[in-house]
Amino acid sequence: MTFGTVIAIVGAAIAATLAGIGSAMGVRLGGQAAAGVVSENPDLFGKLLVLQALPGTQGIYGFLTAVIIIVRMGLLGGSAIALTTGQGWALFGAAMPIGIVGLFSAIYQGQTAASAIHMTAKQPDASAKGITMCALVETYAILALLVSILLIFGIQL
Amino acid sequence: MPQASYPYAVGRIKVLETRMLDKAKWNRLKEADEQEAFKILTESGYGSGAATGGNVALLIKAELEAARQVVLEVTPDEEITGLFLLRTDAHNLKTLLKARLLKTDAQTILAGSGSFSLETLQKCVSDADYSALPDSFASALTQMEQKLQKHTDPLMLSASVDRAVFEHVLAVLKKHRIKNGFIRNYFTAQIDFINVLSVVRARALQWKSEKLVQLLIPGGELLERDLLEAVELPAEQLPRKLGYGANGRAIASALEEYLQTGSTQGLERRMDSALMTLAKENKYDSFGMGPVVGYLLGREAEAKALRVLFAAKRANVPVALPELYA
Repeated sequence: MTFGTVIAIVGAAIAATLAGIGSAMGVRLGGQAAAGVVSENPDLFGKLLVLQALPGTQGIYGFLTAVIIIVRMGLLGGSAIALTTGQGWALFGAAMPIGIVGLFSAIYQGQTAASAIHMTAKQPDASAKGITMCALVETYAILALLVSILLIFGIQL
Repeated sequence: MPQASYPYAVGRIKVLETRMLDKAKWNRLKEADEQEAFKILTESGYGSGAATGGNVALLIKAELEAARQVVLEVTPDEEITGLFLLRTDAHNLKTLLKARLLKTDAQTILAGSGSFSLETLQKCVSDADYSALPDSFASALTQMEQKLQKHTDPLMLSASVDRAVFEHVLAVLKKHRIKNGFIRNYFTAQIDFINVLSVVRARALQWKSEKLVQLLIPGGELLERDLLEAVELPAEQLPRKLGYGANGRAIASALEEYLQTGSTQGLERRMDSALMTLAKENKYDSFGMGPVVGYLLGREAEAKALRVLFAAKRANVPVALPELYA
């Protein structure tokens, strides 16, 4: 295994890990808020579940990016490409947008989700508005995912 | 058991807020007769199903007690939340002390438990030993007991208890390094209004500044020097002298109203209004103490409004819409 391959694997691992940590924290915030509301009004469980789940998407994006890097490197087929150090660093860099943006956007989305859950507790009909508010934070995670994917497919291996 | 999470606490409080008295419910209660209003309250879940035998005072007491229990159950910081219950403790302490001095029974006029249990306060007052309370609170109350042995003055007794309460508040805020924000602003505003009330009362009793200084509570925005000078000033200069700081405008307006009417009710009303405004400003903070404390203050304001409403119904006099939290 070349040094370039090791660097690319580290990049894939960081993308999945950071985005996953962000999502776990975001979903936790939403979950705490939802638990508080549901303990007083169990009927709202269905509406709140969607809001709680929204910050979980960044973790999926990080996972997706890591899988694409692994597939491009040929690690799954057993015939890994011997990457140069330059190629390795390029893939590492390509993994960073979703790793870093995923981490922070998931936490901020979790905070927005918690506030939206509190809004839904007062006005149950406003849950769709809360979803829209959370989706706006999601935009930046999607943009980061796009950049990561374009970069990964743009690198000549 | 206290929860260590603000989102959880605020989540529970947000649902409970929907069960509070709002403008629509208030109008229904206002238009109903006394019995019907009582029925509307109990049917909406007010009083948490407590057996009150048709007594509205007991119903209100039960709801307040339930609100205090919920707040203490959900709050991530029991010590800070407890500070907002000290008003109840102050009432109970004053009542118990006066009852001890007059050798009467105060059971019927005691409020529910505040930050400390009623049993603890009763034992402290009957033994004149406050060691069961936090140090900052106990030392101020012990000093008060020493003064009481020499001379009994109801106004001084009341002021000494208030002073003890705020000394404890300031000690807790210092311990938690709370130098600004909602909690600090709340107590600073309360101290300023109470000090202005003390100045007004001292003027009415023609006290000198040497006597007033014993009533003043440290920790407010208004300077002690200005408060003491205000006792000697011509009345019309009071609003200008004391109308500064974050609540300067409210204090100045209240003092102008006092000069016109000669009643301190305006000052008390504006204090409640300023504190309610502070609570409302922090109502939508999903990650802080604001909504938790705001709910408690809102329930207390609601209880006050309901007592006035039912008293007005009995006296057959009109009642205005109060400032509600919900």
